[in-house]
Amino acid sequence: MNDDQQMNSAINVDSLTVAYGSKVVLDKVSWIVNQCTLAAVIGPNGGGKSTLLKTLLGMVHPNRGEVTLFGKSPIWARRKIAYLPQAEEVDWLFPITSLEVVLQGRLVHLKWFQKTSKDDGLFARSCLEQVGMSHVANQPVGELSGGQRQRVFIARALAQQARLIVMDEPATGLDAAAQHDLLDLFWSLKSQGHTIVITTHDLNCLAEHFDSVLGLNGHVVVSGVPSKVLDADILTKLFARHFPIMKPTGEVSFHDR
Amino acid sequence: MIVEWLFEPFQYMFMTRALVGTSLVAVLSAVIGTFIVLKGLAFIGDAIAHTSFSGIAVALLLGINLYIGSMIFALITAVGVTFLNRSAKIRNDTALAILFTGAFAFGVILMTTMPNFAGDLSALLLGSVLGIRLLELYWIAGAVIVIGALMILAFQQLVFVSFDPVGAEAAGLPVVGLQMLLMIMVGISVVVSLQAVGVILVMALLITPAATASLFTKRLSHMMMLAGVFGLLATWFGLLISYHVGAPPGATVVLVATLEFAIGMFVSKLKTSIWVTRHSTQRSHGGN
Repeated sequence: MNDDQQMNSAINVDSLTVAYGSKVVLDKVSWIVNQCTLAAVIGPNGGGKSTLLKTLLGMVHPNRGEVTLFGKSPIWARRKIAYLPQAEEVDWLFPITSLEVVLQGRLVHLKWFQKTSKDDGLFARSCLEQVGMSHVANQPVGELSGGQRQRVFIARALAQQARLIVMDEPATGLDAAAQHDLLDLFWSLKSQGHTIVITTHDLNCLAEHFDSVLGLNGHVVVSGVPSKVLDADILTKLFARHFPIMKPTGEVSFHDR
Repeated sequence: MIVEWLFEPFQYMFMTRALVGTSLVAVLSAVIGTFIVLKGLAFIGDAIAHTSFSGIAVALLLGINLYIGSMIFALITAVGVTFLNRSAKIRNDTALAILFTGAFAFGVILMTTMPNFAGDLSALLLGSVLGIRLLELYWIAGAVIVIGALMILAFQQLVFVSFDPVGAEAAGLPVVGLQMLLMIMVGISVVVSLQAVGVILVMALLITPAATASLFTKRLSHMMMLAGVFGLLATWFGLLISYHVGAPPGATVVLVATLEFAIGMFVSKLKTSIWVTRHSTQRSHGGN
């Protein structure tokens, strides 16, 4: 890859190999995501989707290969990357308001033990407004619906001024309407210069509307635009199962082994 | 009459010291206890109390300050627990229970090898709030200042880690360090509260007022303040009742706190049922 490509890419994963003990989870994975792109990672459970995300965040270290984000190593790019955890990783019973969650995005920019300022508070409010959640600013975040929680966490990413937003299964637990609202928000974030990477199981609703899709099962099974990836034969290979998919025309294609 | 009932006991220095000591512990418990209740750390706190008991035994044997002995054991447990979460061969609570009961048994045996252990043992198990000396008040006040300062400094970070540990790690916060800090603060609180209520009842003082507060509010700061109010009421009334009735003070304080919780449960249930009734009445009216 030349320097130009390096500059334009938000994510550049080069022959990444990650193993937990003797178990290889990711095997020579290479993947490039350009800036201002919506990218989805699909694949079976245990296929290494979450591990790939955690490597991007610098929480898992590669055994071999290299990951660069905006041309820097994950640790150095940390402030520019926001992570939205899976719903079950968060303690929803913890008494915290939406605004307080959004303010957490500012902590990345502070020194150890430094507190958020009034300006941080105003900025956090504007981020909540941007995702249409001002009205729940003082409500406990645990009392919100799944879709509202996602928006509050996206506001936290905005408060962090992240350029790359990484989400693990953001569509899980959302109904179709909430998924479409989320997709609309993704589009508007993309138009503002954000790059978004998600993992998802939802191929028809979300993945087909993304710019690029990576099919991952320990190694890269397929990578490219949705029209190429979301094909019954390829999906059957990826998931090693019969895999029906619905085309926009309403026609269902079904691979029969 | 009431004034006399309320104030007469405090003409005695030991009662005033007990009041000051337990009030400081109540304030400390309000802050740390809220985190303990919210994060389900009661069992860990209990483990710390038991291991710090053997720390006291060792300190007695070596003739060093009891607080230092128990604090060292409490902090080792607190730090150990943070790492226990990361290994997976045996369930955490099982491993912890084995460790702390073992440490406690070691402490009991150590105590019995010493002459005049009997008095010390019951004071350690059940507390001796009326025996609080000035030096011990300094220790408790010191703990309140240190933990108060740490809380003010690291509050937002501790909340982030407690609410969303993976998100906090991704944001580059020192998650393990912050979790360890919380454990260490729990350890310190347990050790300085031991004098008041002893090993067996110490967790009640730390969690019951916070648990009562959690019935009434969903804001963290409000929960801490309310826990402080409940804790102070329990310690004040507990001490007064124990003085007038001649009951053991530590146990009386804990019993009053438990009573507060019971009343709290009743009131919050009542509030919910009133709300539901009103709501359904409004609905049926609206429907007509």
